Amino acid sequence: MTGRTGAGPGTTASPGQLGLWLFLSTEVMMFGALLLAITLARLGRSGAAPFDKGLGAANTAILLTSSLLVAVAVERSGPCSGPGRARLPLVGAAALGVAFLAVKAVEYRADFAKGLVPGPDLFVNLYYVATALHAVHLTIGVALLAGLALVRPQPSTVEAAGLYWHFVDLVWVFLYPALYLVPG
Amino acid sequence: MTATSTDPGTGTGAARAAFDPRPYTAAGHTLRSWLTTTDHKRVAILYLIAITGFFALGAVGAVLVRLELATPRPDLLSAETYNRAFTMHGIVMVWFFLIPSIPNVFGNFLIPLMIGARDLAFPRLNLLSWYIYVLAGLFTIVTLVKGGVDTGWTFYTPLSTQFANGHVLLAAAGVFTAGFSSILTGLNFIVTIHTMRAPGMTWFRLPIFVWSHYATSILLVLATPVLAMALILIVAERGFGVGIFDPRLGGDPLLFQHLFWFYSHPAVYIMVLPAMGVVTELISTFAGRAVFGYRFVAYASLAIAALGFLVWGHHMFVSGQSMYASVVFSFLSFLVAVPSAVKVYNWAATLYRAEIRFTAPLLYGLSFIGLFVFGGLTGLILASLALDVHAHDTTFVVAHFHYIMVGGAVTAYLGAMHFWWPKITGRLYPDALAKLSVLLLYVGFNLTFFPQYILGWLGMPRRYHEYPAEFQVWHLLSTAGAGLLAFAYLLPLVYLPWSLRWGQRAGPNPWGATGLEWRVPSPPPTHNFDRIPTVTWEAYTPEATAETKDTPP
Amino acid sequence: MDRRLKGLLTVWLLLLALLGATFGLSFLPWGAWGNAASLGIAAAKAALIVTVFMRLGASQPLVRLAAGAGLFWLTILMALTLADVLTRV
Repeated sequence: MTGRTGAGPGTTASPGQLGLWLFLSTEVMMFGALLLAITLARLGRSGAAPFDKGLGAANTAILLTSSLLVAVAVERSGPCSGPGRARLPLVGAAALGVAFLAVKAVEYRADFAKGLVPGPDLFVNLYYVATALHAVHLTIGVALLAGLALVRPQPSTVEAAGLYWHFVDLVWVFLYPALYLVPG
Repeated sequence: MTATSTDPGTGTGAARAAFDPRPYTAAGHTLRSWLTTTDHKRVAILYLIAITGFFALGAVGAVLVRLELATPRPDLLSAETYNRAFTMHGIVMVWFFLIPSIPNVFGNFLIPLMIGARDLAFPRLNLLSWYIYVLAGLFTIVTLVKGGVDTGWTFYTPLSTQFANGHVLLAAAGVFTAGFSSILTGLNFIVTIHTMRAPGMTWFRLPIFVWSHYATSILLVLATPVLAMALILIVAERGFGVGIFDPRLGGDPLLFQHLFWFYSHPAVYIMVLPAMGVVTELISTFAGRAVFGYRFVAYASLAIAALGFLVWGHHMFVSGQSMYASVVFSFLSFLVAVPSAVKVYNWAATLYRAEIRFTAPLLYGLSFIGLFVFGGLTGLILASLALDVHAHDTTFVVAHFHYIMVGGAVTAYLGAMHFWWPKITGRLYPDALAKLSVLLLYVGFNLTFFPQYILGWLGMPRRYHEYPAEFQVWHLLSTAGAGLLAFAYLLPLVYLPWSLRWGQRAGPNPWGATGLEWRVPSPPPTHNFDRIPTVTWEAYTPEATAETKDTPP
Repeated sequence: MDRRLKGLLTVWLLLLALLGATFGLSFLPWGAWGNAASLGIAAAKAALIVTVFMRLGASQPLVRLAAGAGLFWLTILMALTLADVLTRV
C-alpha cells in the first residue's frame, strides 16, 4: 500500500488505489456501453453465434490462469517477500497474454476463412469491435506486466498493474458468453 | 490533530522544511517553467488561457450564424458553410469551452486552497490532462476549419456515418481524446476531495463550491466513457465500414442517441453544477451570511448529479423512442427540477433581508439566477411530452439551452472570474466597468435569445439558414443582441488584463469572504499554506473570516 | 504452501469449473434460459475475480463504493435503454 495521508478526517483509502478503481469504473462504463450494443444486436437476430466457442473457452481459461499468476505476483511483491519473487509469475502472466493474442489471431484467420468478415453482419461487426478493443487493452496489459518484470517495482505498482490486468480478464469473462454463447 | 501533512506525489514534505512565501506567479517566468509546471494554480492559468482562445474560436462560428440569419435569404453563407459554422460553434463551445471552463480553471485553482491542501492528489496527471485537452482541441479545430463537419455537435447517425461529408471521423477522434482530459480531471478532484482535506475540514465544513465540483466529477468520470464508446462505434462504422447503427443491417440509429445523450445530458449538469457552486459562494459572501440550508444545498448537488443520469430520453421524444419509455423519461425530467429549485430557493433565502453589497461579482451571480430560472422553466415545457412535439427542433430549444449554458454557465464563469480575480492575480479591477459589462451581458443576452423562444414557438426550425420574411424582425433583434453580448464578453478582456499592470493591489481578502483560500496571500504562494490549517469552524461563519478580513472596497 | 496461495488456487479452480459449466451448458437446447445461465455464471466468475483476485472484499468501504459506482450507473444505462427498445410499438 502506498502511504496513507492521515491528512484529513475520514481518510481511509490510499489516493492511488482510489484513483485506480475510479479509472476502472470508467472502463466499466465504456465496455458496458458496448455490451449494451451487443445485447441489442442479439435481440434483433436469430440463430446461434457463428464463432468457435471452443477457442473462446480456451482463451478464457488462458486469461483466468494469467489472473491467478498476477494475483500470486501481487502476493509475492508484499513487504515480507524477498526481492524479485514477483518476477516469475509476472513473466508467466505476460506470456499467457501473448498466448491469448496468438489464439485470437488463429481465430480471426479461421473466421475470415468461414466468410465471417467485418461489414455485412451487425453481430459479426460488434464481435470485431469488441474483441479488437479488448485486444488493445490486453496488449497494454502485457506491456505493463513485462515492464514490471524487468524492474524492481514498488508493491503498490504491482498491485495497480494487477488490478488493471484482472479488469481486462473481467471484460473477457462477459464478452465470452455475450459473443460466443448465443443459443440457437 | 496536528498541522502536519504529507500529501503524496507533491514533494511537499521537503517544501515544508523551507516554505517559499513568494507568490506562485513568481516561481518562474520562462515559458518552460509554465509548460512543465505541476502547480495546480499554474495549470489553472494554462487552462484559462487555452479556454479563452477556444471561446474566441467558438464565438466566430456564432457570429457567422447570427450574421447569416439577419436576412431571410441565404446571402452570406451557403447551406453547407452554414451547417459547418454552427457545428464548429457547438463542438468547440461544448467540449472545449463549457465542459472544462469552471472546473478546470477555478476548480483547479481553488479546490486545494479551499480544502486546505498544497496541491491536487495527482499533480502530474493534472498537467497531462491539460496537454491532452489542448492537443485534442487544436486537432479538432484544424479538422473543423479545414475539412468542415456539418452534422451539428450531436453527430447523429445515420447522418454522421453514412451521409455527411467532411471530416466527421477526425472530429470524433478529437472529441474522444478530449474526453480523457475530462476523466482525468474528474478522477483527480474526487480523490483530492476524499483524501486531502485539512484536519478538521469535515464534509459539512466544505464550501458548496467543493460539493458541486465533487458532484460534477462523478458525472465527468462516469458519463464521459459512454460518449467515448459512442464515438468509437461511429469511427468503426464510418471509417472501417463496420456497420453498428446501420438500419440495413438491423442496427438501431437510436442506440447512438441513447449513448450520446447518456453523456450529453449529464454534460449539461457538468456545466451547470460548478456554476451553481460559484453562485452559492457569491451570494453567501455578498449577503454577508452563511448559506441558508447548507446541507440541503450540498445534497441537492449530489441529487442533481444522480437524477441527471436518468433523464436523457427527453431528447428523444420525437425520435421513434417507445412512448412508454418517453413517459418515464418525462416524469424523471420533472424530478430534476426539485433539487434545482432547492438551490434557487436557498439562494433567495440567503439574500432575504441581508445587508447585500451589490458588487460586480454578485451582479453576475444574480444574473445567473434570473437566466437559469428562465431557462429551467422553459426546460419543463420541453420535458412535457405533448408540448415537446410542437417545440422540438425549433429555436425554442436553442433558446432554452442557451439560457442554461450561456446565460447560466458562462455568466457564472465570468462571476467567478470577477470574484477570484484578486486572489488569482493579486489585483483589483475597475468596478464600474465590470458592472457595465454585467448590464450589457444581461440586456444583450436576453435580446439575443428571448426572440428565439418566440421564433421557435412560431415554428422556426433550428439549423436552417433561410426562413420566411415575416420572421426577420425577431432574427434581427437576436443578431443585434448578439452584438451587444459580444461587447459584454470583450469588455472584461480589456480591463482584466489592464488590471494586471495598473490595477490596485489586493489584500488577502478583499471581499471579506469566508473560505480558506482567503486566508493566504493574493496571489497565493506556490505551496499554498505555510502551515496546513486546522479547521475548527463551520463553513460560512464569521470565525472563518475573523483573522484575515481587510477593508472591503 | 501458505494459506493465501491456497485460497487463490481454489478460486482459480472454481473459475475453471464455472467456465466448464458455461461451455457445457451452451450445448443444451435451453433457448432464452441458456442466456440467463451464461450471464449468471459470468456474474459469479466476476464476483470471484473482484472479491478475491482484486481484493475488493478486504478493501476500504470507499474503494468498494468507487468500484460499485460504475456497476450502478451501468445498470441505469442498460435498464432505461432497454425500457425503450423492449417496449417500442
